[in-house]
Amino acid sequence: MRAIALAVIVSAVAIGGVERLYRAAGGLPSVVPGLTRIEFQWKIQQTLGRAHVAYVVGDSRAGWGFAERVFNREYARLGSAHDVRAVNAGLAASSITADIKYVLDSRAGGRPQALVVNYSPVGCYQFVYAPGPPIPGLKIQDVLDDHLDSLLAERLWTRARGRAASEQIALYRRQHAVSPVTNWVRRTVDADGFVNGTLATNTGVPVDNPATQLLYFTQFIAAAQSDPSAPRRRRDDFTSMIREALGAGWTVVLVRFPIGPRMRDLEETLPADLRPDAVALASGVPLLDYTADARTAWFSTLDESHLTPDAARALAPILARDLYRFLQ
Amino acid sequence: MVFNSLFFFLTLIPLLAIYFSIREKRPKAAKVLLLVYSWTFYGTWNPAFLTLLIGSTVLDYWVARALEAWPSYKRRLLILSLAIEFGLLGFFKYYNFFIATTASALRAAGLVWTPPLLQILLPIGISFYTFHCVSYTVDVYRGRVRAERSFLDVALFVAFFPQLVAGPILRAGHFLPQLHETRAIRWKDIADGLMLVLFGLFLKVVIADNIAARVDFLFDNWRAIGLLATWGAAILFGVQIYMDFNGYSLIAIGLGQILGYHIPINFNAPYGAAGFSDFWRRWHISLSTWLRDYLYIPLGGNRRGDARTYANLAITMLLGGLWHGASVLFVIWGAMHGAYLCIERFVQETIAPRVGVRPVFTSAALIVVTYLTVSITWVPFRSRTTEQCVGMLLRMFRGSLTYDAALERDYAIALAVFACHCLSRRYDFIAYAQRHGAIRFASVLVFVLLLYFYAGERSEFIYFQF
Repeated sequence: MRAIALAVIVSAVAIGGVERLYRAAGGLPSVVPGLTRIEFQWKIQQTLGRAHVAYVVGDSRAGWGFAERVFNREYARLGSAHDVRAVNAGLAASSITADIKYVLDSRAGGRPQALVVNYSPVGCYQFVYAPGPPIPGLKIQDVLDDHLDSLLAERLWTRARGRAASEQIALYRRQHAVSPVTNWVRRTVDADGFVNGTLATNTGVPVDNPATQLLYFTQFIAAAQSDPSAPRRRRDDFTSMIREALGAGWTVVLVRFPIGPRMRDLEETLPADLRPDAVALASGVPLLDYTADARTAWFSTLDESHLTPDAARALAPILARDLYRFLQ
Repeated sequence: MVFNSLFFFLTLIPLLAIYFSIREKRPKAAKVLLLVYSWTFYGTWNPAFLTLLIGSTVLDYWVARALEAWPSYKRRLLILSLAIEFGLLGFFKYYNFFIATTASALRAAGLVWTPPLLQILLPIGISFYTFHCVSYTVDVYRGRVRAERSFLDVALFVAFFPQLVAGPILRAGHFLPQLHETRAIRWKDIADGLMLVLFGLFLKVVIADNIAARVDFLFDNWRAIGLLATWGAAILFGVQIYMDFNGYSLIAIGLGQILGYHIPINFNAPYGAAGFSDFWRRWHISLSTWLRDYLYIPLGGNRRGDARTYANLAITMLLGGLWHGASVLFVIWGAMHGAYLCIERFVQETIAPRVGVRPVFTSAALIVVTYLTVSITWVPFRSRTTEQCVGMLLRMFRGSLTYDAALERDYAIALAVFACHCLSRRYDFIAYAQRHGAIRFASVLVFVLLLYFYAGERSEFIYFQF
């Protein structure tokens, strides 16, 4: 037993040493800035027994910005004939088409439900992350393990990342300097049903979140303007997926959560057929655009793209009231 | 609940703390604690199927008591018990398979019948605990064990959490007596158990989970790969399933040892086997001995002439294949092993005595031939469709000789595992590590560091699906 205890102590010291080296070499943790795949799939799985569900899908704009509990409280207060439950099914950096497909497939053969699709140009036309194939036999233990993994990922940066750690340390030894990197380092799970993330750099310089987002979107929009063929293919996939949902009897509403003024101006420069109104028209669904709504004019964003937690909580009752007529 | 899980180990710590504090003073309470934990362990997956597990336990507890109380009804009671146990197993595991197969057969005969297929969720571990229950009832019927008076002991025998969902399959005669005594647990038992748990986790989390993606890639792209890669896929899957299942078994044995119970080993370096009967003495030992004692021997074993012996071997292996799942591919896997065993028996009894080859050469060559031929059987075991199975089997002999640099790593892993198994024929590495403090220290250090830094993406144990 002494040998085992000693080995565990030595291992802990060695792990601590590597962890320190990795951090000194400019390593950062790698955290999912939103729902993980397991959490997403579990959330959808938990709704399968319910008769009336509104799935709010989208990329991180939905994942960070839809306060499902506030929505459900407000919706219940409105006195709906049906006990509709909304679910935040926003998945960071995901293809919204893939998200919708996952939701439709998971309820295939069942009663049609409601889809509230939050438009985002990169979620519709660029991101490729997907919920993945359904994990067979997904159970509560998997979700609890997933939560533990997420918590540990923020604290133990080299856990299960032996190769990344050794490469980072080797790079530092070669260059004798830290190569600047920005990464998601923390996520915050809010009790009202949304999850967001925190970006950080390894140089200690604070991240200019709006500038980072605007730069990313500027590059995407410039590429879409010079060659819109790829976004157009993705738009066609998106609209055909929406039409498939409508054909299966689902209620579908396209929404556009509030964004910052600079981001809104930037998105105005998208080719006309890629803008939300054109997409709604092509899909044959209504559009609720909150980027130009007096009720949301005071809403602030974290980075021009994602709502602050307070704004997310404030948007939910507005959404509940607006969606009420569609979801009856 | 699964073992390769942080949450599991978090729940295990308070369990062990309470268990050790009450075990000697209140052994019955300690057993109740283990039973409640075991049922909770099972129920976290799907609480509804916990009733099935408890139902099977209650049934066999009463049937075993009745077997002793009313000896004149022994046969009928046994049949009733077997009918219910195998009926439930058959319904949950094989209903759709047999209905669909019947429909296909009728279609081939020109009769159109739309089968009433059901959406059935397979209760996890049902194949394992059904075999526990059946072995208990049959052993009581045969008079090999006495019917247990304590329901708690029977329930714990069936549901003991380390082995509940994927074995090793326990025998009542081995485990129930351990429940009657409160053996002192020494520090050495805990240390040996911990070593086994760590080694099992290492096999599963570091090796099996890290090669899973490569195996998936090779099998998913079977049409595009050549002869060498197809062999690589089969051999690497052999490594994966061994690491996965033996990892689980070692964790189960280690946890049992920590809790003060002996669970027999399930694997003994199977890829170092010299011959197929030797392979089955080393691979999934608890299943192969179960099939031997409760199927092969009752069928007549080798006591009724050559033809009957071959037939019994084939039937046993076919059913052994079918035990793994309701699929024609598992039947093919079982049939291949049955054919191997029949051929081996024929060679040993008819050809070898006439030819008279040197034993050392025979043994070395036999180990290699056994390894390669067993590897072929992993193709039907892992394939998703019959087309894929046949296609890959053909490619193993007729595929193009294209070379891919990634194959070097695949073959290196397979060769390392093969070499370890061959050496394990002579050296017991685990016992060596358990005896020598320095080796134990080094082993634990390596296991912990590799588990921390190189854990693969978490996945279910392969045998959970059976």
